[in-house]
Amino acid sequence: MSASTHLLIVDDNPSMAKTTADILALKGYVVRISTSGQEALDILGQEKIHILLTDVIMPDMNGVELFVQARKRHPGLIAFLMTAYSADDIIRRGHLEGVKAILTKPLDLNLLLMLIQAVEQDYLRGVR
Amino acid sequence: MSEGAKILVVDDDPLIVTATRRALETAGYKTLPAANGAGALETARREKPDLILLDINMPDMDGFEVCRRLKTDPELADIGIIIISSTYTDGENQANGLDLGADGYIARPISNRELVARVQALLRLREAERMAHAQRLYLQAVLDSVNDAIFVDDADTGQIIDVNKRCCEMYGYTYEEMLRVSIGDLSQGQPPYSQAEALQWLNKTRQEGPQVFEWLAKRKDGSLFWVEVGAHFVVIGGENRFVVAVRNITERKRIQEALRVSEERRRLAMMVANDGLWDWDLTNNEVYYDPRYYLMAGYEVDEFPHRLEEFQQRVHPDDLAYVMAEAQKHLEGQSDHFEVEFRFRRKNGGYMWIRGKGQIVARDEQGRPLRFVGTHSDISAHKQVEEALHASEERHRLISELMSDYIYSGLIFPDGSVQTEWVSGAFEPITGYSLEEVNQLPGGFTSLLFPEDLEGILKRRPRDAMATEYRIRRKDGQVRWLRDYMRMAARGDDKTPSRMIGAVLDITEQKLAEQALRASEETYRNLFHNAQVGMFRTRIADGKMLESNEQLAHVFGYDSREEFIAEYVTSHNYVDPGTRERMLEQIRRDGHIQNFEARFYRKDRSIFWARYSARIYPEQGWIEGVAEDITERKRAEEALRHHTERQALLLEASEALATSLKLPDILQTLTETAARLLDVGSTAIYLLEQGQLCLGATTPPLPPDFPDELRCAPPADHPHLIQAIRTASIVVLPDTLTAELTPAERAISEMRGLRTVVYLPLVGGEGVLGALILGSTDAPRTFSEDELASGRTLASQAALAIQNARLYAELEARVEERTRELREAQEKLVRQERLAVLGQLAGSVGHELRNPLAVINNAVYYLGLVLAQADPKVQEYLRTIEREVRTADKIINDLLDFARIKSVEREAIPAAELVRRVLERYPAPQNVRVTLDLLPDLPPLWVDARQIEQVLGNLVLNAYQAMKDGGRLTVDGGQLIVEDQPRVWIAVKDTGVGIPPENMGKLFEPLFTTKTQGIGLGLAISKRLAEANGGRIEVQSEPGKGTAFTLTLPTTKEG
Repeated sequence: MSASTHLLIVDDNPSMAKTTADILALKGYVVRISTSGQEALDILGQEKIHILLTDVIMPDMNGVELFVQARKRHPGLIAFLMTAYSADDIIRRGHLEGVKAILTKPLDLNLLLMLIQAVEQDYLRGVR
Repeated sequence: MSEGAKILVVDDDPLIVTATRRALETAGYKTLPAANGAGALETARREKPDLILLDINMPDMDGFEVCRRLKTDPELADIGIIIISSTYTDGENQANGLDLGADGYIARPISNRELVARVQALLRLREAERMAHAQRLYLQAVLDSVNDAIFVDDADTGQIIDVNKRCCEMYGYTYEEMLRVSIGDLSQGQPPYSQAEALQWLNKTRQEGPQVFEWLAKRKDGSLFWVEVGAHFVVIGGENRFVVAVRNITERKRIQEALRVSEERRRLAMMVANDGLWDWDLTNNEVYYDPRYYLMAGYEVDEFPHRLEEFQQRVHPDDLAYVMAEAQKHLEGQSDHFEVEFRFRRKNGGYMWIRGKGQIVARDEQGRPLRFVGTHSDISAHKQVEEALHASEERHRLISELMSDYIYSGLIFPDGSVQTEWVSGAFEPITGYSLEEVNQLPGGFTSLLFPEDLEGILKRRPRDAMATEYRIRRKDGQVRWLRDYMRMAARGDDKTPSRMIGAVLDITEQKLAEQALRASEETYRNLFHNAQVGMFRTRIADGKMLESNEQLAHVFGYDSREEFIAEYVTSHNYVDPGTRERMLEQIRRDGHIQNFEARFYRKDRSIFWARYSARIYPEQGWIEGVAEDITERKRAEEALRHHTERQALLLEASEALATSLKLPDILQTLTETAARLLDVGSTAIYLLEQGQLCLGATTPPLPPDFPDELRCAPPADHPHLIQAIRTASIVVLPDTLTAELTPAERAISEMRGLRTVVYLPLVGGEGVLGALILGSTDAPRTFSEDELASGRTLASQAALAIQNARLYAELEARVEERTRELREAQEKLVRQERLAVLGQLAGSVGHELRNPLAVINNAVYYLGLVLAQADPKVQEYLRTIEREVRTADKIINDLLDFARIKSVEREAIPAAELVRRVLERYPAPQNVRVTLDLLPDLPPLWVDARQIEQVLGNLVLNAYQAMKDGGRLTVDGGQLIVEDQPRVWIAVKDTGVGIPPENMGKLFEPLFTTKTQGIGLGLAISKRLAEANGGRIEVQSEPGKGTAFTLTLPTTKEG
């Protein structure tokens, strides 16, 4: 898969970020991980990322803020939110900002893979 | 008297005569000559010489013969005789002369000087003897004339050595016998009147001086009599002597005793003066005066109204303030007793003396007196006697001070005038005159006598001794009664005065006492026969009626006292055995009884209450007293007592009723009180309850087999009771045996043994509540107005108490309901708060758990991918981890669901659709059959479909789990209206194990579970979801049979 899809996984829990990344890598995706919002923005500034999969509640900034900031420089960025919490107002804001999917932890990994495939088909065909 | 004495000289020798006369006349004597015996006797008779000198040897008759003749002539016997002899000088002649009574013997020759000396000595001796004799005679006369017995005792031996004549008469012994008897022989003999006490008295006399005391003396014939003894100790001629004067005071004693008895009788008669009863109601100043009260003061019964003012108007104005002040003091508790004496106006306008007594008999709750009850006794007679007695005592005292006897001697001249020669010391205190003064009065002492008394004395034939009684007027004008024992000492003739001596007793006191006795006896006789009270005298031995007045005969039902006295014996006629014995014991002990009450049979064997007071006269063997019929009073007292008891009982009952608010207790108290209050064997309370008459309580309690249909019955079964209730008045059924009764009434009256039945309606503020029923058992009886009034009072108290109890019960129920609501609200609040805390905790824990869970989940997924070819055992373990992660996630989701109900998003959705979805999602296990039975045309639900699906899903899953061994699941539904709103209900029923009752209340609590799986949030969430949707969940369960959950939900039709 040369024109592979690049994903950035952001979670302040490194194990969560790593295990998710390993699964996606095993499925053939190019995966970068980050454990903070700021680090994620740095990565986004340096590398091409198609899909941002981010935790919502994180110490330096929440997932929605991260998406909003990142999109300023990368308008086509696709974002999925992962949440263990029911932070309804943040999630609602995420919906409004254009987050494509909200996944609850523990992740339904089959659903995640389906969502990624759908994003690849609908959005990334021309982008890549 | 020796000087100038007359001496007769007798000798036949003239020379001796002449010589002797000269010698004697020289010595100063008068002489008379006689030459022979005959001349001597003649001269002696004529001249009464003091002394005769008698020659023995004379021619006509010798000197011895002359001497004999002289001594045997009473008129001459006193003349002294000296026999002179010249020839017969031997001793025999001398003795012969002296034997014949000669006083001396002279033998010649004798010198003239010696003769004169002998004559002088003899005359002196004779004079002394004469004086002594006269004195002895005088003393004897005095002693004999004194009314007292006089003893002279040897103080050292106790021997009686002399007594006077009166003493012999008094004791019935001769003088000689008197000198042989002892003091003990003359006494009654028993202490305190035996010889020992007598000697004590004498001893006292010897040591302390004269003593006066009363003594019970004994005559020779054994009879007894009272004396007053005055004892003196004197030394006479070196000898120790007691001189004892004894006066017979039997008469005085008798009169005193008679007077005392007579006074007592009078007092007895007055004692029964009937008391009037009064009863003062302090709340309105009404005073009840009983009939006697009116009669006592001479009014007709009820002549004046029963008001306090009526009493006050009749009290003497001078006494009113005192009487009312005493009453006030008592009512204010400042005095323990109320007793006043005052004057009260009789109908005839005169005043009578009243003694009033009273006491408070009722008080209100604050202790203020309500009723003041007492008696008024007529003490007028008592007052008068008291005054008279007072005066008489004063008189008695004065008299005793003055009284003392005196002795006198006096001369009565032929013209009747009296000259008193001598009087003893008490004369002046008695008469007020001295001896000189009395003799200066014309007529002397006799002028003091009342003329009629003097006349009476003069008419009597004078005797040597006589006793007379007469009145004198004292110098100060007072009248005195005197008894005079007079004795003629020397009788005069037409020219010479008679001499008399006497002893005079002042008997004024005795006379007055006799008069008083006569008056008193007269009064007593009048009282006895005219008294309005019965008077009697009965024999102690057997109670035989000895004397009675007409009044008493009538009381005992006899027409005449003669018949009564002839027939009546009280010992046969006491109704109550032992009463007479009790009375006798008391009267023997105290000497009298007062206000003794006993029941007697009348002539016709009817019974009445008598009250009597009496005194015992053991020596006469009888009892005397007064009696009255107090049957009426007893009845009135009994009625009053019953009334008072009933009042007390009512008070007690009302207190008991006031302290209880429990209807069963109150009803029980009421029936018990009613039974005691009116002394009936059976009582009951029926209450009107929902158109039925129901027994509330009974006394005695109902037997267990008492039929239920009699406990509660339609009104038609109890027409008498209903009549009392309808008319709100008392209905009396005189006798069940003769009355027309319904079968129910008949059954009850036979079971309870009722005869007379009284129905008292219980009239409360909101109409008649029921009735209180009183039944006499065994025999019919009548109920007095007073009793019915008491019953009515109790019934009205009962009605009030029942109303209060019902009101209380209602209030209690309301309070209970309100309390329950409050408790529920509070519990809900607590639960919600707890749930809120739990929710927060569950939320944060849940979220935090999701993170590690997510990592585990990822890790397992990864391992599944990379180990696809791995050992099947590894594969199985990976699946196990995966499954358990899912379970953990489900639990966390439940927790989060519970912690945060998501907002309700309503939509209209048919119930059938929801049920279908649920049954699709949770298909039934193999062993469970499902029955669906929802009514068609149910209005659509207006709910959050997902939430209600979750609820129904929970219920269905629970049902499956309750039927592990199979069963049937039924889901049905219908429509109902709750609070005017149409609702749809859906019930999920299983035939499972059911829920134990102890778990029902905790069923919807969070974290309550009986399952091994899950944490017990399912039903709690279901309930919260149902409530969030405006619905509710209820549960019914029976262990072993199954459980039904019913979900009620709002519909689109809701307004």
